[in-house]
Amino acid sequence: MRRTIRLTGRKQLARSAFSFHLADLGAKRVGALSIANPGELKAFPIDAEIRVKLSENKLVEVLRFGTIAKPIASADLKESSFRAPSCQVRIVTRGGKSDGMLLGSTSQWTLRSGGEPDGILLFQAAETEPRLWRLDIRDQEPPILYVDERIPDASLWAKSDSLFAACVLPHVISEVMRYVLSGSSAPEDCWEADWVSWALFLMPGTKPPFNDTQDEQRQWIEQLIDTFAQRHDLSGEVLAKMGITA
Amino acid sequence: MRSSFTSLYEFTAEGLELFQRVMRGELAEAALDIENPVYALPLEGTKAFNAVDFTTARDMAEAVCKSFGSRSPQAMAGNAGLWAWLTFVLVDNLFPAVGGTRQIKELHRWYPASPNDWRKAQRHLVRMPVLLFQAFGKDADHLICGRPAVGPDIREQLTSQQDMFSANFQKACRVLYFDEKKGSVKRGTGSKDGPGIPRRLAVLRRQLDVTWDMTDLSPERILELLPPEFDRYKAQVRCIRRSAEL
Repeated sequence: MRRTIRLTGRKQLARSAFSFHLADLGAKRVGALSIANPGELKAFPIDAEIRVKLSENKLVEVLRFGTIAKPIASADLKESSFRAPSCQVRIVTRGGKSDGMLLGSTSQWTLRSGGEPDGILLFQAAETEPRLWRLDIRDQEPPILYVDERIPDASLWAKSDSLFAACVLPHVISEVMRYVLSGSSAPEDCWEADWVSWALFLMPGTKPPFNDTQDEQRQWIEQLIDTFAQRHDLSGEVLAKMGITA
Repeated sequence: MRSSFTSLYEFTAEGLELFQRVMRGELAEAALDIENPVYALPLEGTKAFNAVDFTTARDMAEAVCKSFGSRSPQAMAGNAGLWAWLTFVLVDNLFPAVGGTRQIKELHRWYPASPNDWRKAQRHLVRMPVLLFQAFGKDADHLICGRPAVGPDIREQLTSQQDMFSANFQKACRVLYFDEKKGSVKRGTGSKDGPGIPRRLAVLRRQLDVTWDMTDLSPERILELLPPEFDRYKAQVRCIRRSAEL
């Protein structure tokens, strides 16, 4: 089991103890929070406040969901631009000298519409016009591939369309792995580590070239893309769709 | 080049390609004909824009924000065609010719990086001032009071973390670093070394964030939490207040 040690005394809260989503109520957009495991909040003072921090694209908003003693289920959202924001539940002291002190928090997660399972690359419908797609590499969560929301079921389409996969995914792999390899050592306990594990699963026995030359890194990434393309028969799928037999 | 437009425009894929070649010095500016719909199309819902000479990035941001009309700059943050078009029509403001040549410098000052790229997105000379002015208004004075062509270190430092995009944090920064009388940043703010400078505040904010809910602390509380090295800037605040009272 992965454990997080915090020297500040701030408690690590389980993400599974909370369920959060955004909903439209008429003209209003609200954040709705439910507490699946109230036991998670037992150790905190009853007047401590429950908050959810949302951040995306240089935008931050904090929603307040009452106190431990009197939680409330929904809070109005001022900002309408959130599509797939980073979320974090936070428990914060109110009043007195320690007003604003962080007593506990969950890890951050990305809120997506559609309830898709976690993966190393998240697909999300969004306004990407005039582009068809846009890659977003984040600090603490897996990269997101935004797909033009004008396409019906955009994220499902992007995952299942062979032409899109063949043209876009090699570029995504290249961008993400270049970012991962720009670190000085092998990452641990983060989304970058998941990408390295995935690459090693595809190419067992190879060593990710951290600290190697750009040329060596480029070659390793090319080899990874070739292996990925071969495994999923990227070009063959497209040719078959076009009615061309190899 | 024309400087008055009936609306904001966005470069098409072809226009964006030419724009990059022009900015890299591979083509003359005249090669990109912004009147040609192959290269640039009007952005629906936006208003007239005059690309005049702006004294400060704030003036420029205010004018661009007005022209957004019913569209939200935040929602359009990922529209590279739009920000590239604005860069091109404001090129005399952003990259004035010295001795007949423009000093274009770093890529992300003129080509908009992904808005969530926390290391590069804040460098764009039009998008960042516009997003800051839209989000914080006068509380962004310390970040956008300089010439449009200058991407000052204070802006780079105090927008380098996603959680810095909180109104209260920027209010506290304005109190510390903006000289109300002069309408510019205080002396010493641009230093890269020394006590209490924006670089130190960026480091300290990250440390305080471990213990405090920094995104929601009041500006006064943030200022209280700062160590004595920031007293120099706080002292200037007090002097100004005292002289205003006399």
